[in-house]
Amino acid sequence: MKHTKSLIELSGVWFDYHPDRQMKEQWALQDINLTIQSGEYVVVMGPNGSGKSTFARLLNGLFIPTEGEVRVGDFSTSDDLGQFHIRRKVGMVFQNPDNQIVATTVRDDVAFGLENLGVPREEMIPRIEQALEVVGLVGFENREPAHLSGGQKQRLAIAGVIAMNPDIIVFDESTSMLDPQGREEVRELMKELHQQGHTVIHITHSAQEAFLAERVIVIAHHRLQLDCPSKDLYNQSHLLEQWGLEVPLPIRLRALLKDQGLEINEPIGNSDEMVAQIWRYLSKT
Amino acid sequence: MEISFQDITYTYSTGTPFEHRALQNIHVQFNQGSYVAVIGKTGSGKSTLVQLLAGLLLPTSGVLQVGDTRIHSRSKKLGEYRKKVGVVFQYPEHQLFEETVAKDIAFGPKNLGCDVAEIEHRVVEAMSWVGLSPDLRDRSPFELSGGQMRRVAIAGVLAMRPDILILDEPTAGLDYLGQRDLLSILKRFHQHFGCTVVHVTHNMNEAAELAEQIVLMSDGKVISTGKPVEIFRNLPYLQVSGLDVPDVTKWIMSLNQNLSTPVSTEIYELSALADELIHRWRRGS
Ligand SMILES: Nc1ncnc2c1ncn2[C@@H]1O[C@H](COP(=O)(O)OP(=O)(O)O)[C@@H](O)[C@H]1O
Ligand SMILES: Nc1ncnc2c1ncn2[C@@H]1O[C@H](COP(=O)(O)OP(=O)(O)O)[C@@H](O)[C@H]1O
Ligand SMILES: [Mg+2]
Ligand SMILES: [Mg+2]
Repeated sequence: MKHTKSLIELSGVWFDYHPDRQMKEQWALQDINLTIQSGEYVVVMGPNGSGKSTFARLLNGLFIPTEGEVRVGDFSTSDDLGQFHIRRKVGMVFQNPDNQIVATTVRDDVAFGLENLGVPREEMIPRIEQALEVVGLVGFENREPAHLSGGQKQRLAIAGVIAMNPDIIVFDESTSMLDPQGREEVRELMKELHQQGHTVIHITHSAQEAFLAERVIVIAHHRLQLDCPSKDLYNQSHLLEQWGLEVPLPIRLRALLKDQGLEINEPIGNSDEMVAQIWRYLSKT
Repeated sequence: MEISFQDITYTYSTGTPFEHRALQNIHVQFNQGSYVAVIGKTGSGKSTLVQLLAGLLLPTSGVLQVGDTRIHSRSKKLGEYRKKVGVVFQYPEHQLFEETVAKDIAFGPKNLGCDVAEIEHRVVEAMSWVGLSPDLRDRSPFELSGGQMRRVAIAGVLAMRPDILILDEPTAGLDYLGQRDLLSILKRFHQHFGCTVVHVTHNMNEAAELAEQIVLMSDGKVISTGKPVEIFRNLPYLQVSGLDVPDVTKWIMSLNQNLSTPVSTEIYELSALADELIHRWRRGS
């Protein structure tokens, strides 16, 4: 695919829940300018209350900018027709798996969104099957969602989103309530969806998860503060620290070693490279 | 007070189609004043276990002995017992209800029958413990950020000075700094008051850093209990239980692949790992 235009474009976006009551410097989101290309895998980090969920909801037209414009594909969220199309293009997966389940069987839960869209029955069946296949829940069709594990519930929520054929999937802290296995399941699935060509936007507090993406955006104090390739973060961890975000373990270790006189200045692009450096320094001696 | 679960079974909705055995033949002891972490994947029975300890559920069979109090299926009048136990539920900020921060924190001590001066003393003290600035005392808790609301809720429980402090996934949903802050508050509070802390988590880093005793649950049973080293020694076993080892342990394991004298996997603090590496480096040079 060749892109002449960005898939998502935010220009001069300002938003507040009560714009008439708040001073502009307190608005929930301030002066956001950003483009995301089709097929990107972007992580969004930032302290609590900085505006990440608001940002997510602006992307699918659930909220409309108070000022500025959000465009997805050929449409703007500021007009009714645009909203109609954009809601279908942008799927959202939230934090709490229990709040996203609506039906009493796995199959019906996936069907729910399609029914709302008015998808005919004969088309629904293959779409449900395919969505369950993608998330690895084939064989669970008649199971009761309440009895699934956390990771399985979250994968079911993702199936419901995938069945709608969105181009973009936004995960709003969707791994934060899961146990380690559930987290791993959902991370794997994000990777797969990205490889299949979906644009993936993942809001998270985990440095480890940030490095699974190609690009990291930091929203802090209601503004876009940083936008860079994730591999750059390793050598610019002060940027993460500045906003109170998690610094990857090898980089924290490097700083502690430096305090005690062992300075490792070679660039570190990932965890394995740090392991290799330590080996080198310990064997040099 | 020593805590002893003696052959405890707990079944939800006995005699209905929704009957579900959440705990089965639990035998486990916690020493007075120890810091206990309860780990296990979602649905393994962690919350049920701590609700029994809080006196909010009664065992279906078996006995829970806490100091002189015996709790069994027909126990009555647990009111006095519950006063000694403070519980921070999951997402405790959803339970705030008073008009001001100070009133919310005062609710617990007031119920314990403290006099006005004592209540005031405890409110001020609890706000300082959790790092809430004194000028927030007359604000509505609902005007605060999510992280601050969580602190108010926790302050309310700390102000009761419980003998047993129970926390069910207290860091879930907090940003990185919020998590680190809360963990250090819990560590200091435990050291200062010497209360028994029972902390439910699926974050292995938290469990390793704070706990003296870890209880590993799977499928309604306690499958292992002991010091962090005893639990995290067995990676395959943990992974079968849907869990993992702490990040530091994982990192030491990859470092050890190429070291003739392996670094001890009993190290859980990054600063201790740095000290060990510096020691080796200096010895070599
Ligand atoms: N429904 C709402 N009404 C009023 N203010 C809100 C609402 N939701 C969020 N806010 C405020 O908007 C800001 C950004 O919130 P949010 O986007 O939820 O942050 P994040 O997801 O980064 O934690 C915060 O100051 C928050 O208090
Ligand atoms: N009120 C309830 N009624 C019926 N079953 C329940 C109830 N609460 C929990 N359970 C079930 O009991 C088991 C243990 O749940 P819980 O103690 O909440 O586990 P955890 O806290 O480890 O996730 C799970 O299978 C859960 O579905
Ligand atoms: Mg949010
Ligand atoms: Mg629980």
